[in-house]
Amino acid sequence: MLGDRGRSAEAGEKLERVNPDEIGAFYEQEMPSLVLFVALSTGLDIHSAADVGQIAFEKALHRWPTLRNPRAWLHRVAWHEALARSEAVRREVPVDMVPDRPDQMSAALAVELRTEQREVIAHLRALAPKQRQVMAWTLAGFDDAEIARALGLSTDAVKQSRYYARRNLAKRLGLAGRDSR
Amino acid sequence: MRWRLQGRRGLRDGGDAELDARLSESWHAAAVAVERWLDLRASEEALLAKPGLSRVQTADLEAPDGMSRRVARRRRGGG
Repeated sequence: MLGDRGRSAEAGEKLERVNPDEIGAFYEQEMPSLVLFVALSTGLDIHSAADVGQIAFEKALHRWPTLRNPRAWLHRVAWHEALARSEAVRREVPVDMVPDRPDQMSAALAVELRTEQREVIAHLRALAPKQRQVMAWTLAGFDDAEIARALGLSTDAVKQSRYYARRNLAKRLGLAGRDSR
Repeated sequence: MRWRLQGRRGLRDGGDAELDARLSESWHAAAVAVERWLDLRASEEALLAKPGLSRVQTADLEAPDGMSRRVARRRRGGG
């Protein structure tokens, strides 16, 4: 087993072998969906979500050679960073001044989406927090075990939240009466 | 397209195919919109970094690979 010094030396050697183009390509591929994931799962506005994504990537750069699953690591870090930011805002701003969670993405994004797509995103953002979080992790491509670990839930609780989220979405989108499990 | 959809396999519980399709399509479209917005944001950052240039001159300026200046600076080894 490697000690801290051994691990550090190993990381240093790996860092020298990192191809900047590899990280750049990963950034291009993952950043948009990471920002969307943060905005959807936490209710942060798109500007704050982009800042959170940026911070997560900066942290990832320092650890890049040691990350076994950079994508999962990135989402977990961004998730915790976004929660901390949301909590800080709640502490600093009087409760009656905190606006309700925006029911749509910023205007800059809204113009890019068709009406029915905006409707789906708005309904996703309007779900109860746990349902919204589970749907965001699900849509970002994580499996139940990963979601359960990230959110501190059992896999059954993840499945249940997704069931209710899908049922609510189906109802709000006029697709109710079908099996949304 | 630089971004590829990650979310389809997440909708794995069966059930309403139309709901799955609408969720996937909307998620995908929103991610593409975010990508464009990030590119625009990077261009604006470049614009702010070059105050002597006109907006026309800086219209095509962008950090490497569409990354923000902060991450680009990190990649170059700066602070």
